[in-house]
Amino acid sequence: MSRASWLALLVPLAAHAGEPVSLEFGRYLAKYPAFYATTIVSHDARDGIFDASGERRDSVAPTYGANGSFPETRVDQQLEWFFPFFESEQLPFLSSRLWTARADLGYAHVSADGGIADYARANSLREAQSGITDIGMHFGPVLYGSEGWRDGRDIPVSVVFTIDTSVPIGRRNADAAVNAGSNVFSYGATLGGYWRPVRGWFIDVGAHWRDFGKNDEPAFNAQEPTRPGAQWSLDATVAARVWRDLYASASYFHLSGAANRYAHVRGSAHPPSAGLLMDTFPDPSGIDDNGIRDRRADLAAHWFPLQRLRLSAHYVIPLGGRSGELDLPYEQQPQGCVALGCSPTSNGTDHVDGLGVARVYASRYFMIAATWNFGQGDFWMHGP
Amino acid sequence: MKRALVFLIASLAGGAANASILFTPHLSEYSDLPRGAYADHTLIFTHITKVFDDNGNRISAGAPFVPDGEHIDAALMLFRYLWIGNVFENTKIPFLDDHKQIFRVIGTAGWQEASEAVTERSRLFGLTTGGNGFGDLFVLGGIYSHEHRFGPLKFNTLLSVTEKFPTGAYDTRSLLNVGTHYWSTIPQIALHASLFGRLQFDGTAAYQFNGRNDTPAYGGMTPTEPANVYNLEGNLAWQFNEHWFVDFGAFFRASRGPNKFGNVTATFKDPQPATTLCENPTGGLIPGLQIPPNLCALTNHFALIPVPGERQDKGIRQTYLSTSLYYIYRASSVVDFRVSYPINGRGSQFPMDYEVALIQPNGDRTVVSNCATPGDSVCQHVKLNGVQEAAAVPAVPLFELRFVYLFWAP
Repeated sequence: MSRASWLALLVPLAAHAGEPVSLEFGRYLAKYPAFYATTIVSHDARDGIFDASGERRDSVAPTYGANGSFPETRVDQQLEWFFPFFESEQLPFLSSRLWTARADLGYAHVSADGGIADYARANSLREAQSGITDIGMHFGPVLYGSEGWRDGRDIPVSVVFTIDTSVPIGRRNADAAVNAGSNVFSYGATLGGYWRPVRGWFIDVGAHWRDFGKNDEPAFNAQEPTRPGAQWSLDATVAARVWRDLYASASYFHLSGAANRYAHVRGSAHPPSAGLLMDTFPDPSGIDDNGIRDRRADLAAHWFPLQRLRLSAHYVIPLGGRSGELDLPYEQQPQGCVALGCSPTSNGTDHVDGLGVARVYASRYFMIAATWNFGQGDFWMHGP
Repeated sequence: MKRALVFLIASLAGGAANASILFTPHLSEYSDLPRGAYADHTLIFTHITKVFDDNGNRISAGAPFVPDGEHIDAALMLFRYLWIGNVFENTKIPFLDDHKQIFRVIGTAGWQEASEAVTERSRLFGLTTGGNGFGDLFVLGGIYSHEHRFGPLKFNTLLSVTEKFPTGAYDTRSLLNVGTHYWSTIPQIALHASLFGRLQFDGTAAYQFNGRNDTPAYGGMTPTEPANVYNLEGNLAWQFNEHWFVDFGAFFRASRGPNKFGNVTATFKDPQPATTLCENPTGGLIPGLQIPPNLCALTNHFALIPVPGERQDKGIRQTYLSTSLYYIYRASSVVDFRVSYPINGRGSQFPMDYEVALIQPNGDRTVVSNCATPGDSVCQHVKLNGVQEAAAVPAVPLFELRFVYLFWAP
């Protein structure tokens, strides 16, 4: 049995757009009951995006000028458990399979450069807020493939279903252009399958759905969505043993997000001029963008130097995408008029780059990951 | 079974967006646990739609400044590390050498946010509402008594002191903060008793000494001198079997004297047009403002200038009843669902005076009131709400879903 077969793996699934996604092979494998910890370190220059028409742009927020970037260095810690549940009660469905739970923690150092940072400094806003990230929690059953965990039966297929939620404890500043935290709850579900067609080959395929709560205090003049659109994502990985304890994998990730809603936007990069003795201001009513797309490839090498340790190096290549953008309507009215009867009139629009989850980055980046199995069972549910 | 119960220790929990350090009663909270190192974490969610005013009435959160139906939501996470042993075991220090000690560190992180109308209104004052990130750090040291047995009854006591280090994220502009920005020291005495191993009692009395906060938040609506607070709690639990428990408890906390607000600066960020303050004085800005009609020319703008000085509320108080259902899994996990219902309470409100200034077309500011003169008709008198953990008292049931996982234990 190879060392790879002794190590249970875990993985993050679809994170929010712009967050690193580590696609480890074996992520939908029904693992032996134990506690697994993975540390992921990544750095992404985030100096480009895919705009709303899918074109690659060399600034993270083109409306604020060239060379804008949101560099991010982050450390993610994932804690995952596989365990039997209500064993002694012999409850139908509950007691006959393994269950899994996972918590995702992290810290992100973010900054802003270029035009959007200049704008922030000039307008008493803030460039960036680093700190802890939101925490994710996942829970669900192994639908198929865990029946033989006590006697070590080899079942080369497993299917896992989990529900998840993200609690927005991540650090943020309502004035910042880029934040470590999202300030919005999300919840979702994942259905994933694992298959070992022949010895030394592994296939993982999963689908994930996520929806969001309301962000009552969107950042940077409310250029973040107040309600991000629901997202679907698909991920697939093919991995193979290359030599002894070395493995290689290739993954594809596709995310599609529905329209994001923005409300009470308070400013933009180039607001239209007001008429004589008039004030101009954004229409506070809600407006949608056209949603987001994100497609990436992930090439990775994996090494098992110890029975309980896996090290991985990933190279993530954006393949295409689409960010959220909108034309923000402006109104105008006589200066100082705030009472009824002011009768504001239309005053054109200004183009806005949606921030937060609405940005889809176009930069390549590296990511390294290490997984350690803390449990007594030091092998996969079913070995290669 | 005792090992399983360890999760339930240490419920020193910041219970809500605006709650103080709540000594919420939990099963087997103060029992004499085996020596070793323990770690666990807890999640608490709250949704606050009503709070107590300074007369003990239940009012909508944010009233009267925002319409009914607004709310405050919060999620709090506790990361707790506990060590039980005896560092004096091989010494000859009387008492300490034969009594176990307990040391605990609690890290917190959270999210708090007000609903849209509260946030939008706060912008008029140049303020924000949300808070995220790491909260304050709590460090506790204590000592157990010996365990005493009388037939089926056994009991022990615990003496401890908790220090709260104000390391949490704190924004002076924000209505809600994860950190409190002041120190607290909390001596506590607790009792745990068990009858036939089935009926468990936990109770405690604690006194919270609060330090000053010279940089209050949200325009000075958090106290610069948070009052000291005393806490009493009791909890009775019944064990059905090795997995299932239920408990009933009560806790009471009250301030000793008033909270003091010494640096209130909240006022409109921008001068307000006369049409706002005169024609529509109850339009959601500061209810109660009464601008004399002769000052209400349409070209005028007003500024409201906070009158310096220290204000006081009436102190705070709250009484809750609670019940919980526990499921303990394999001595490594606990799922606990709890409902706490407020019986009564008193929140923080304090009087505030504003001078009125007229902004001339050339930008000059002319003060047209004189709050130093009793009965001045232009001086504005309003009642403001104290906010955040030392001042606000929620008047809604609290729902707590705890998942406690023991990373390691003896």
